[in-house]
Amino acid sequence: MKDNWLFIIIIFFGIGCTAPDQQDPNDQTTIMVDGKKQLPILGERKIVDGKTVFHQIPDFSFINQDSMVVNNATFKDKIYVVDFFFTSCPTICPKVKKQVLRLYDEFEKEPRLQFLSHSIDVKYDTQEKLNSYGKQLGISSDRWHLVTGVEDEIFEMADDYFIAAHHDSDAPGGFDHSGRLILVDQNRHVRGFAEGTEPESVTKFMGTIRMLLDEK
Amino acid sequence: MKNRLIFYALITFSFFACDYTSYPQGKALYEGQCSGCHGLKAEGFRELYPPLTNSENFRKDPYNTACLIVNGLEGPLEVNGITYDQRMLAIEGLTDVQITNILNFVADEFNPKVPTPLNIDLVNERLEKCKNDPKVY
Ligand code: HEC
Repeated sequence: MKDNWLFIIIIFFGIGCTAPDQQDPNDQTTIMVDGKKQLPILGERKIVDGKTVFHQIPDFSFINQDSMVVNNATFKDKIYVVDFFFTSCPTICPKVKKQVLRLYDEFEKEPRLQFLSHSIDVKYDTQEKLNSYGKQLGISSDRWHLVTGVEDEIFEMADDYFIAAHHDSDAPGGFDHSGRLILVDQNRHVRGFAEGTEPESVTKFMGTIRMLLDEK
Repeated sequence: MKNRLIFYALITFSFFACDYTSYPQGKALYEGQCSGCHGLKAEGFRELYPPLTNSENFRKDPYNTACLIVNGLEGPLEVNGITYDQRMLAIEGLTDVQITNILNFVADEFNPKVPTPLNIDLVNERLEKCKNDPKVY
């Protein structure tokens, strides 16, 4: 009987020790790995067959401003920055776009860094609309994809990137969404974020991006 | 004489010293409702949003902007040789007083050629016209 209890306690401790920490998607504090600073992998973790499985961006497929399919393969061996917007958004999107543009200019010579902006207004933001928006913003689909697709799939992706986005008739333009920018690595893991409405946050984010580019 | 000079100097100084605007409510509304797209200095943004500084259309017919605010604007629009073609959404819930203040701020701050103050009765007259027919500008 006494042994049984001991056994249970040991098992309990065992689970306690091997279960990995969950990583709060709102906490991007760097961690130390082998004496080196590293970006954490954000989101939920599970143990499968004794291995830690991290939150991973699932398969997706959207259409960009040049009518090309954009999916996970588009970002193979690349890292990318994600945001959600719509072309006629009056308040936060123009601010966020100005900040993404800063990153786009800052990392002009870094082909490994790409940008992925999802429109959440699939009705109005047709592929043609995104095309003219991209031209008027002065960006190229070589590096910056403006995508549209099935509405539900876009909103579901927002969850996977830990970005809030939904319909809200009270919000300006009919959508409520956060201006957060998310950084995804070549293994489809979320590694960092910035508040796209705040220039200082985006300046810090440049450091986060450099850190990920330097990782190997 | 000396006192008078000091007096004028102080007045001039105080104008520069504070963030002076004759239309504080118009300024606050402009910053909250318009500057995201048109920019804090009404400089516009790339070829997405036109500048409102020294705007030819605004100078010709400043009251038209009241209608743009309540009805929105869409379709190609040429400003200084650049064709803009995004959608400006209608902005809901502004009173005639607020709209007049925005127009006066835009005129006073960014379009010195437009004589201010713009008149609230004329704003209302125009809003009445475009209320039923958003195409009338
Ligand atoms: C969503 C972004 C957005 C917001 C917010 C916005 N505008 Fe606009 N505005 C535009 C766009 C885009 C155009 C050009 C529309 C077109 O191409 O038909 C425009 C055009 C205009 C024009 C016509 C300019 C010209 O030279 O003919 C005026 C005046 C104007 N806006 C004033 C305002 C004012 C005042 C506000 C705030 C009450 C405001 N806008 C808010 C995007 C915006």
